[in-house]
Amino acid sequence: MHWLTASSFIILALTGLNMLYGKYVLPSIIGKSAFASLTMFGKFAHDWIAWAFILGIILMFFSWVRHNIPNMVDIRWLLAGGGMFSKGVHPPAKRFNAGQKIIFWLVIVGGASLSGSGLALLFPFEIEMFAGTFKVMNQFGTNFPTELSPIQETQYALMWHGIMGLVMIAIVIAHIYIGSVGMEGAFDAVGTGQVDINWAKEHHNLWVQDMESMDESAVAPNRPTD
Amino acid sequence: MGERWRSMWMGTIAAVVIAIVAGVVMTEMNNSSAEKFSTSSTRL
Repeated sequence: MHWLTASSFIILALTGLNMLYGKYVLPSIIGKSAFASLTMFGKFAHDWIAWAFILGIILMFFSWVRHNIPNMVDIRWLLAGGGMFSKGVHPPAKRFNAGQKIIFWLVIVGGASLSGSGLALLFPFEIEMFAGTFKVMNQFGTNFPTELSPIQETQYALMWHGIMGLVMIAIVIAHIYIGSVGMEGAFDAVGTGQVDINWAKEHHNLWVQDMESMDESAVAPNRPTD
Repeated sequence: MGERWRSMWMGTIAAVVIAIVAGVVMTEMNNSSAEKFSTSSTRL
């Protein structure tokens, strides 16, 4: 589920960046003809893999939303800086710490926004979201236009999709850093789906307590993270 | 080492399979040439 979404996102990011900036960089490196072919296939890949990404974020939402509701534990975790600025400090955390919950909600909200504007670009004239969105926003004092022609809808969708894409790429780069080299044991957790019990007690002690109170006999040297 | 990457490959393959299915569906949705270039068609 994580990798369905992550792999899709990487392909979407690379093909999307190529559509935005490729023409300024690649033709002088690989030639105009190769760039044209690459971009043509890249656009098809972008349009088709988008569906895998949409499915991934839907699955992730329903699987993990109950573990990502903010609570007081998260406030204390954030006030301790996640232990990142103090040696040997591991503030208490449940299955997902506050940093992970922030990433979850950014991916869900950002991914949904990208998906909505992307669908509007895949089906122009048929899916138009900005007029309705502006009507709702105008109730809070803004003065956005609410009568939009199809071409204006598409222009807004294109602009928003590009902006959100770049924002999500920046967020995901930070997520990839922390999930791989920035945090010891993090990649093993997402790669194998399991963590060492002592690692879990150190970084997610409240989750281990919950699991132990549910079933004493279920605690084994390696517990599945899912 | 293989175990760490297994789920990554499974997810990636699932994404590619879904993309191919989506591509086939979206391509089949295309109209005939006459319909595609008709002014009544809004598909790009």
